[in-house]
Amino acid sequence: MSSVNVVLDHKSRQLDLSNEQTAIEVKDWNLYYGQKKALNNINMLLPEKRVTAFIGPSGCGKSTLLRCFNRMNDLVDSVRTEGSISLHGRNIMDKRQNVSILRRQVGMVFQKPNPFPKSIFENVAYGLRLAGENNRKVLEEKVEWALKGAGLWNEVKDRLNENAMGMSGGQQQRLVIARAIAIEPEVLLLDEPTSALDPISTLSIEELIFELKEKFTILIVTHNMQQAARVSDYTAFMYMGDLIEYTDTDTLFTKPLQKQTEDYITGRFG
Amino acid sequence: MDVSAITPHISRRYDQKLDDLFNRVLAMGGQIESQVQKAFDALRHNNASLAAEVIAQDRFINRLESSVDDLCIRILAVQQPTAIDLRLIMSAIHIVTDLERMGDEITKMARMVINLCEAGQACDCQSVPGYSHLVEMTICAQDMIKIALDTFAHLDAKKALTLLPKEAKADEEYRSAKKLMCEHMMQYPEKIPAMLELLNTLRAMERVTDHSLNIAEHVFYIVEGSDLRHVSAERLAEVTNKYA
Repeated sequence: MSSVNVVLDHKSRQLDLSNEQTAIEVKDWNLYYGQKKALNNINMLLPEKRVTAFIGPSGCGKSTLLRCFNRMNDLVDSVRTEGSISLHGRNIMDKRQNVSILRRQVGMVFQKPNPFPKSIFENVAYGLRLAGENNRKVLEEKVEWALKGAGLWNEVKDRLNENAMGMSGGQQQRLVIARAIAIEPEVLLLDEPTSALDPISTLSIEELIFELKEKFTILIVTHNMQQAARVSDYTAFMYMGDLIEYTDTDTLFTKPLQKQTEDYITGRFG
Repeated sequence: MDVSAITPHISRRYDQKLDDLFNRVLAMGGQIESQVQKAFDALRHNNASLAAEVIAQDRFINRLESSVDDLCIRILAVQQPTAIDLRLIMSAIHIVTDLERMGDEITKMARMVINLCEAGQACDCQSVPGYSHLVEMTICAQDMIKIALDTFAHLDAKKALTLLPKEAKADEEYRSAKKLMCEHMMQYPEKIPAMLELLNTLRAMERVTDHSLNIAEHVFYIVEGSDLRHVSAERLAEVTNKYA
């Protein structure tokens, strides 16, 4: 067992990732909003082609951490960071890192679906065009692939030229996922991707997440603990900027080690 | 761990449901304690009508099992419990199954009393070697039921482990009594019908001790999240030493 593939889920229990390939390594990671420390010495390995969920109460830092993985926090003036985050061994916080390229490698889907006021086809093709792809045949193939990957193809194949704003919320969110995966990122960040959706659309997205992990490393922030339990392989519980417990999802939801985790997932958190 | 570890949740209605679950399981356990005492009294006093009461009361215990199962299903569906709450609910389902089966075993003693009274062999039964073993086994079963219910009421993992040696001793008692009774049956063939009734009841009481240990193992699982069922003797020794 390689020591690099064993991370302590705080205190004593070890999370064994020796059978996993590491996609992202977070090392001694601190983040400050001005004087306020929002993330406190985070250390974790995130396995490739697995779903890792981040849970915790509002303000615990889970979305802040998620936004670090594609450097969205660069857009916030007062943010200061320490430590390193590596994607396949390359420090993405390096000043020489091209952030546009990083965001192609690390796609993101937000809480509310945000399709562009364009056709369904153009929404999915948008990132491809930005990357310089203008060959119509290639675009058609990739749009079809992405829409199939997002489980949307059969619903929209006959109306690709219709405006995406006319789709339902659940369809729009799957369209946004199709747009994100069209450029074939390595990692997909999902920030509460179903919180604005009805239960049936939520289940469709969850099913999609399960299928997408064959191709992508998926990191999901969710307030819905049952969703984290259903879709993820590993779960990290955060509280007040600390990573309290990080282990396989089955263990975290049946036998958490830390009392804070237990109190949170069982609804005892005051 | 204290039972207060189960509560309080942010949702008071959730707490009420878990309290209700606890109380129903303990009420069912109380019924079992009462049943075994009545069956034992019926045995010692050759009281067929008391034995009949035990058999009639068993239906009430079966209904209690169903009511706990229904409550657990409702909690699972509505609250989607996790961690210790989930372990409690899954274990409660197992515990009431054990209690229901204990109820069935206790009725075997009551049936024996009725059968022997009807056959006029009650006194024969008390004069054969296995009778004293049955009395001892029943006292042991009562003791183990009480401890098992206490461990559940207080979620006491350490106390749960004390049933391991008691159950092993009960197994040994049963084996030696069975051997003695077989020898007696060969010597006194005319007593075979009464001896078979006695052996059957002895086996039933030994099963009650098994179910008591099962309950203790479920309590250990609730508290520690570790399953003691079907583990090796080495692992059991390791766990027991940790708590010693």
